[in-house]
Amino acid sequence: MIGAVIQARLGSSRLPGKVLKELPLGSGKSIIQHIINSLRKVKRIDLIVIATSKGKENNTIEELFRDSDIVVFRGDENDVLSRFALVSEKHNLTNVIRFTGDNPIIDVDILNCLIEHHVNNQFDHTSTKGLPLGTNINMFTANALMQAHNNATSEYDKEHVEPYMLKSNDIKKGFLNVEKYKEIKDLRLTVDYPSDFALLNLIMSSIKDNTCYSLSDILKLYRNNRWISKINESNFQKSELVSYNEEKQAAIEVLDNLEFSNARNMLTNL
Amino acid sequence: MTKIGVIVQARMGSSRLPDKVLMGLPFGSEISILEHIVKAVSSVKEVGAICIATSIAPENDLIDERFKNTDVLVFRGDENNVLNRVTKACEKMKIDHTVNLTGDNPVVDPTVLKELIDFHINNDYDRSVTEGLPLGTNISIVKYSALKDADENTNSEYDKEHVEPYVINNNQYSNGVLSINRYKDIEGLRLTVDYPSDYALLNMIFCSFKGGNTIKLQDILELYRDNSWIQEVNNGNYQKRSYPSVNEELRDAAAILRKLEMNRVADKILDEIDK
Repeated sequence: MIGAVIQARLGSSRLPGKVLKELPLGSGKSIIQHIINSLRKVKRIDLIVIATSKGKENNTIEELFRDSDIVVFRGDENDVLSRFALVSEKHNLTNVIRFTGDNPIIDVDILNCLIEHHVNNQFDHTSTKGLPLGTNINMFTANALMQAHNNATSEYDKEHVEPYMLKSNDIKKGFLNVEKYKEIKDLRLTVDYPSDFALLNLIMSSIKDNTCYSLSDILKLYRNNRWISKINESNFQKSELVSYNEEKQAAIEVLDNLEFSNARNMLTNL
Repeated sequence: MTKIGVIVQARMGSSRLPDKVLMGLPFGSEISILEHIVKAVSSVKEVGAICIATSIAPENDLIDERFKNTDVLVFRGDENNVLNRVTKACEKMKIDHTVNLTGDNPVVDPTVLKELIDFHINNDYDRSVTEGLPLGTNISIVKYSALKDADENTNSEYDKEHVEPYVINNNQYSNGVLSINRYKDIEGLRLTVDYPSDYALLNMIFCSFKGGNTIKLQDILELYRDNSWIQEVNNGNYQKRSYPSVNEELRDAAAILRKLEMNRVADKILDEIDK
């Protein structure tokens, strides 16, 4: 049994209720619906699960999928690793492919390749490499997942699901290196900030086949309109700026873009 | 009989968004930003003529071609002296008043335009302007005679580039302000196209209205009430401006960095100002 498990919850500070937001705005299709549409195209996926938390704001998610073949699982708010482990146990999964409600673009061809690569090589944990932010996919065995669940102790490992597996030496890791999308590797195709949403809105509304958004379509769009990367390139994952120097470098870039030359020079010399 | 014209100043070749005035909106659409503007003003019956005033530079031939078989006059004038370009266009159109629009601003609300024209004519001002609307949607109307004076008398590069300052800053002209209060909630929205994220916001707005009617500020207000987060798509963008002092630039820079949650760096910059 291969299960696609989507972690998703309402209540994001920057974009409230984003997983249920219509993308493009007014299209009638939510981010989570886009994810499900792509997953349904993959024959080897036996079960699609939305793993959300018990928080009552997520009742809406449950109600939305009540009469469908999509399973909604309610688990711990912060220990997302345990949510995944319990889903896997409950549905006797052998392999889990992990998705998140932040990332609406799933390239079906790449997902098919990943599954082949993972199963044929009998890896415990397999991930794609070289794709735009928000489009890399990871897959792991239920055994590796249970091992992580039983042994992980840090909050960080529990919240982020995979770090324990990635650190563990007992787990056989594989990679699917995708070279052909190198040019758009730096595009942000994740929805965290409003301007991330706006880029995806633009991409999705301009691709005519609105049931499937492939990276090759997005690459084509980018080649003709390189400026689209500027819509949200100054956004960053907050946690990435750990040290003061990283923050300073990022700030210098921002000031450069805005042509604040005095502020930029002062900061550089500090 | 008084004749009122609309003059849209526009040219190709923008550094941040190549050829934005002819870009489709929404993205990939056949209808460009300039065509949205033309369509909106055409629906106002007081408008007797429409002109796109561009420069003689060859890259603007594309604008000429696009409007070749339409009622829109494409006037080619000076590259930098836009005041002269607009004044000459007025002469060619034989108009007494010109509504001055720019190709950066795709949202023109016909109701507001009509209100402004009535306000301007009824009060017999030399120049009238709206206030209280989102960035990029306030509009102004000027008497041809005042612009002609300005064109003949000013020596300042700034006046020449920005068309109306001479009329605004000279006491001999009467300036009227039409204050509009009903869109206060969205006054802070940026509905101008300068940066890619500005275009992205307008793309979202135009995308979400089906049916091809001219988009009104009322429509945008309603969209905003359900999705107030849309303002954050581009509110980190700043109108390029020159700061009178380094400290003012530093203060603005710190505010931007704080918004991006780069508090350590923002504090450092503020410390330097205090020194």
